[in-house]
Amino acid sequence: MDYSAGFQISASGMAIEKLRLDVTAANIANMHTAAPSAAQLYRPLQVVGQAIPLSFSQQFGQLAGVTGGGVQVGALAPQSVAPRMVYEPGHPFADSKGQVAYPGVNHASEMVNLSTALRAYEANVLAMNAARTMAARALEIGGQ
Amino acid sequence: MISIEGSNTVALLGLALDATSMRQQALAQNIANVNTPGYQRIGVSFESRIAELKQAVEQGRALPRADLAAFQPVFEVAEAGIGGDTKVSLDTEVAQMSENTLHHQALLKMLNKHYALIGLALNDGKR
Repeated sequence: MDYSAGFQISASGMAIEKLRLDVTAANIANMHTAAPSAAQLYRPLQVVGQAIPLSFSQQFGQLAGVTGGGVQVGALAPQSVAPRMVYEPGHPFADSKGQVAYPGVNHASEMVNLSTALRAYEANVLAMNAARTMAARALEIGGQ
Repeated sequence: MISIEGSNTVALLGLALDATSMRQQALAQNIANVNTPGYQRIGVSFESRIAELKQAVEQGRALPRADLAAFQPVFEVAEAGIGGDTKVSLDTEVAQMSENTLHHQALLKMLNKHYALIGLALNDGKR
């Protein structure tokens, strides 16, 4: 068995969950970032993962030279949410009706994303620890 | 009598260890893709295909060594579960992973015992 393949798969999983956390943090941090026009307004982002298929050679049970597996960032797509309009006539970015556009960040869904990413990250750590245990035990073959 | 190189035990344990280590990779892959839209979970097909080997062992026959490659574990897209569900559920994956790790350790223990037996024979039964 190529143990590094298992480690790489879990590492890619951890990387994408970390990115998910970063993106959620950026969305929440920019919740009150107003812009002079709708085009310049911050758009809340979301991470779309994409599976990397396990390599062809693995399909035939040849464990040597294993590559592939894991997950990669498919897209960092803007969420299709309407801007939140707030009546603030004194604001420098207010339009003719006194409305200021703020990004339509959805608190509830961002918090759900946050805890989902956290749990998924933990599961990836668990998978990596399991692979490490298996590798360590395999080294004991033939020992007393 | 035990033969060192032509041992059924070592050949079978080798296959089973391949299966557990590939299953670990498959489970890691499923967990890494837990939030990937449209991902279908993968598994490893091994236990369901070794009926012939089981029969050979039960009847005390030698294993079809040349054909042993045909019994190598392979990755497969897992069959749909209840309601045609091929999505990853984190708790099932983690549960299967700890079962798999234990199974791997049990197999390694058996391999160690087998080699200890040979070691005992090599030492004329002295420890």
